[in-house]
Amino acid sequence: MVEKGLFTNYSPNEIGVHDIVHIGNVSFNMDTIVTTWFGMVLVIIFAIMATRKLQLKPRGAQNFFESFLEFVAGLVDGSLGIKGRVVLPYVATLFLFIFSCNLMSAIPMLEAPTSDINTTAGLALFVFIFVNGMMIFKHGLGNYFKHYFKPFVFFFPINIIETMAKPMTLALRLFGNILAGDVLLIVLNLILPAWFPVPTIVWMMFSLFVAGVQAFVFTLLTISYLSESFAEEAH
Amino acid sequence: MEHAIIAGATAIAAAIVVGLAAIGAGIGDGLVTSKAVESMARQPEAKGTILTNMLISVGLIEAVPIIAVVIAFILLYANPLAK
Repeated sequence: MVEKGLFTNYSPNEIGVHDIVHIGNVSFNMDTIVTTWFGMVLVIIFAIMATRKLQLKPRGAQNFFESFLEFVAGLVDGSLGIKGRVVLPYVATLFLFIFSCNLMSAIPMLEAPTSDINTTAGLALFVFIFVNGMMIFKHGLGNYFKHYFKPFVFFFPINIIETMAKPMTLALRLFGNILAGDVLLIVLNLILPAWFPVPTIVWMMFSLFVAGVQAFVFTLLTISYLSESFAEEAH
Repeated sequence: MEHAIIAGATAIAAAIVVGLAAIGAGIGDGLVTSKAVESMARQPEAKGTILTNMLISVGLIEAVPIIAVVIAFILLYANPLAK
């Protein structure tokens, strides 16, 4: 991997290069870590703004935050029932964090941290641990191993592949969408003259829309994977 | 000479990958959106639900074509086969 300094170029012109820091034998992509922290700071600032002076009739940031939470709670209630409210904090934070990370590509010198496979793989790994852990917690370890053989015994490889494929497609879908948007921004930057910024602006607006849609799809799929462990009265 | 062969083959491969991905994404999204618009016309009060489901389906359908585009980018800019 090519190494460069942190925030050294004013318009990123290289695809796939990260600022790598070696600690011992392990290498970290430092610019991805720094932009992830920026994404976290954005979410924290928004949360603090919304909960600063809680009022019974919400206005401003609190209003927006409450309507957003009601929207996510509607998604959770639709798939998981009323007992599903326990996962609402995690799911809402996932949505906000992924959305604010995807928006980082709009800031001039930064790249979105979700355009690095490490960030999306980390998010998908935690979803994997959370979904399987929720199933073990709710139904017990024996039932968890038995559910791989559930409809018929020879479904075992299909169930294994499905369990592996779900977090992988989550990670790759988010990574691919955001990386394609970032790379196309770089390419448009290279080939267009300075007096014709219209395609870049149009693509930037579409990329913001894709940021929202991909965060929403990630969240909705997490909820739907969790619905397997909350379905008690179906069978 | 070998580098020229690898470069040429990479260019053709990347173009074919993106072309096929575009065909797949276009046909898939077109089918979903046409059914969604048709059902929105039949029942205008369900417009919000249908629109939400359509956006989710487009996000899911476009996952593999976008992975194909990422493979094409990797072939062009960080080719593991060229030294």
